[in-house]
Amino acid sequence: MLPQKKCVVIKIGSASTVAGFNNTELPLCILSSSYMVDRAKEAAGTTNSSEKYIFGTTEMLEAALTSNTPSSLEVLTTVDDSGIPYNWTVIELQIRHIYAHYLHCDPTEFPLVITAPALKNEVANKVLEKYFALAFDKLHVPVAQVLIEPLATALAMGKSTALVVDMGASGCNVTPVVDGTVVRAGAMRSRFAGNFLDYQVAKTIEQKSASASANEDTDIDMDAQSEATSLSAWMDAHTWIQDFKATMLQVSDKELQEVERFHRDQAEMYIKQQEQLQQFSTNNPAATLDETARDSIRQSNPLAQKHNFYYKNTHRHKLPQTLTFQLRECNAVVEHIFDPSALSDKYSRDDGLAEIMGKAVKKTGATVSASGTNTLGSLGPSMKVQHQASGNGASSALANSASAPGGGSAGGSGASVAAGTTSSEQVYSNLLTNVIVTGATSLIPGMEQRIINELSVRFPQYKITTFASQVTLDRKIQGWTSSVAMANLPSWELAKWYTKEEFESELDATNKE
Amino acid sequence: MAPFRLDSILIIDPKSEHTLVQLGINDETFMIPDWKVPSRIYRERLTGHYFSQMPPERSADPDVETVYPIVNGEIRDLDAFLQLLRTIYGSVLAEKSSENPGAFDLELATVPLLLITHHSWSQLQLETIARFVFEDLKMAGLVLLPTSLAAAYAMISLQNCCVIDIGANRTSVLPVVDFTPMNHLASTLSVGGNLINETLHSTHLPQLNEEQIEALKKSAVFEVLSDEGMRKRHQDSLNGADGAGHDANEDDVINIADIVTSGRDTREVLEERERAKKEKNVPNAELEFNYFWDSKGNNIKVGKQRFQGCDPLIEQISRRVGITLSQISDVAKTRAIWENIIVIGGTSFIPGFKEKLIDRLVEDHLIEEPEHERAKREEDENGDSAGSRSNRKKNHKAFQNIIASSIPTVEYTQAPTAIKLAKYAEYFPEWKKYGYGEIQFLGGQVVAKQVFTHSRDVFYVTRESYNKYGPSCIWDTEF
Repeated sequence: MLPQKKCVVIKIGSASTVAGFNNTELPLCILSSSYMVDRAKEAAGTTNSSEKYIFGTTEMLEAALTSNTPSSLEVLTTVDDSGIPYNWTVIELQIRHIYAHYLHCDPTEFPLVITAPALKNEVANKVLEKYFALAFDKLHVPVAQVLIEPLATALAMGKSTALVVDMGASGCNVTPVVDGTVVRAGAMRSRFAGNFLDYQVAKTIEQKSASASANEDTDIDMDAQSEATSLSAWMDAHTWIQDFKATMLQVSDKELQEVERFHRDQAEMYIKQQEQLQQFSTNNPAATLDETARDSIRQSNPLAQKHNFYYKNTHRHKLPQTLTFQLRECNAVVEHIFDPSALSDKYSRDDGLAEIMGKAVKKTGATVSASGTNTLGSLGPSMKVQHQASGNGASSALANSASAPGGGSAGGSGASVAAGTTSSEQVYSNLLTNVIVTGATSLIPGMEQRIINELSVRFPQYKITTFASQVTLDRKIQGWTSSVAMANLPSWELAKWYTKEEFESELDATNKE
Repeated sequence: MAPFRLDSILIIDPKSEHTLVQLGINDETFMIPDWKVPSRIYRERLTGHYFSQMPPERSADPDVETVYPIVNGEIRDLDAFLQLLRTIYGSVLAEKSSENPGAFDLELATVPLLLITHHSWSQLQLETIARFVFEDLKMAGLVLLPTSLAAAYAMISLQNCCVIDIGANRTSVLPVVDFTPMNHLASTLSVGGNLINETLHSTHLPQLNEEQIEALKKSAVFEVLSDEGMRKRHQDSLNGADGAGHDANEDDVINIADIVTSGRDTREVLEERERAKKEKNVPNAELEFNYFWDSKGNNIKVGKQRFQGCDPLIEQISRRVGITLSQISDVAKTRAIWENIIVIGGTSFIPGFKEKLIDRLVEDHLIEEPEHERAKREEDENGDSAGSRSNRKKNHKAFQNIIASSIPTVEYTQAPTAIKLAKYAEYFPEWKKYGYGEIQFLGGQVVAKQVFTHSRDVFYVTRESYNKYGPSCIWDTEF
């Protein structure tokens, strides 16, 4: 055991912000990345922003459920649809809130580790600048490092090469990591993820609810629909939609249509068998099953299995309702993540998770085999290279921004040992045997199997192995725990830590180039 | 390092008002804590010098202040808190060594400490406590046990549960998943038992002063009646005619052994029995009026108001528990947690409070078929059976329908489908008598016994690891 170098680790995700110290396995807080503004207090001229803003899922739910004037509450986001933070004023307040209420320490006391998604070079630069501006100029953190989340995830699992499939709220990110570096050309993103599911679930339930209470007053539903505010939408997402996603949704192992066809064929085959059996036993070649028998066989389709959902929407003052869904309906909701084109012509099949996983692997294979030694870092002791890479990933993003646009991976500078001939087949095989599935949306039952099947359709000759934590909470906060693992590396030299001065001089150097 | 002696283990459970302390664990059973001392200390403003008791000659001196180091569960004054620990430790050592002058060679030679902590205590505070325990108090081992876990271990090791810790002015909701306190979900409401006093004073008993209300709340006549409790009591009283006679007979037998072993004055015990018998004849819940004594010795008559005042507190707790548990994403775990609710803190001593809280949780959060849908379903089914009486075969089906409708047929995928109080470890007779409001202390005993007498020293912070790695080593040996 080495003496602890305590630091603060913060992950700002599109749905939740996770924060804690690197000396414990669990974070001290998981807050909603959204925040609440009390317009009534704002109008009353409250100068103290801490009264106007409400942070934290528990606090926000409490406020929404107890407020006398819910119409004055508004929920706003800090992270945009592509998972990039944009509302820096509030992010600063939120992080200060975290320090004061959960970490109980001053930002100046400990080094800070921030986790960022893998971004394209030009954006990465800006985000990095913003993060460091926040860390050094606003919070006065002594030293800070920014980790690339998928890389940290792969390395924390002991893998220097992996395909990281991170299914979050605002998007599904597929990030190939080869030899400890992110292959940016192969990184793909689909916006059909958790938030999209929220919308689909809301639609499905509202339809069901309306048809279930068709003989009652459906107008009320329409009213509720029309006055959907940011608050009610957020409340929905954190109450019954969350429930529905956690308990009802499932993914079929293959495309739903295919599964349907399979079960239909099975049923028909079984009917035929039964008929033959009957014909044989009764010696009547014309014997057939009656309609009820046929129906019952057809009904025994596993997709017709029924699940009850207790639909309680208190904040919209509806009576609780029991809604019954067939398994196929639950499956259909998730199906759109893989193939959104089924939903509307506006969406392309190419944007679904199934296609982008395939593309990511193929592009990575092409990039790595084409640019070979130039893009791959040296292969030292794996821990060292991995970490250098993660730190340098950020730094070389700086260095590369002007000179090497789209140059694929961010390699350690001057570390080009001849990796030579890595064929795309080798890359395929390495990536496909190391598929890491993470993110809260990936917790829907059946997701892992489906990802395997989708990949094996596209790469039939390769063996496919997925890695996913089976503990729900772990997968939800995997980005954070991985960053903690990276922050706990035995030596500080293995990471790229910046002080304010170092960062500024490096930034200047880059700008001069 | 050799395991510690059972009789040298020190357990301290500091709360805002009182601190529970015990030195030594009984070999056979767990006893209730030996000492309950006020969590306060006196400090001279100018010199910063601490006194364990207010020096009598200076009681009017404005320069000596009374410090309560813990406020609403949080450590507000760490320095004073450490001095409180020192005072407690010193007093315990003094008392033991005066009883047995040779104690320092035996049980007091190496004393390990188990400290029950609150979730709001910061890492810095815990590290400072560790430093103080090893460097100033020179103790031999340390376990920092969160209240939530302590309570979970007290209840026969609950893997998943939710601890509701009600203090005077705050209530903490602390979920535990897989023996791990969910610190990121733990939250503290700013209301506690005192809200009952406020409610009583403002809406039910404006004529009583604060002290009297506090006395009423702590008296035996203050009780929370849940609807079910009321019903049950009624039934009991209805068929009480023969049952009561039986009870009375049993009560009349005086267990001499009990009196002798209790170590109390025989007359006192008999008087108490007499009083208890009188009260028992007519339960408090059925009396129109009852009486209690306030701190000044006045006997005060109080009516139905003595059953009221808890609803606002219960409502707020129920809402927070619902919000907290809805954030646990694993449904199977959530289900288990809802079936293991633990209520601790002084307020939970109020008869009927825990049951009423559970009733409220059920009302607010239980997933069960909505009343109107069930009514409709039953109506449909009964309609069927009524129309088909002519046919014998169909009649049989109707009969099955009735059976079917008498059992709940609608099953939901969500949690909770059952909400229950966790089962108490009733085989510790001392604790059973004492009540379970401070059950976390029992958990502390259970853990201390296992950890400090274990042949391996990996479950607590040892002096060796502290000397080697300093205060931050507490994070590597988190229990």
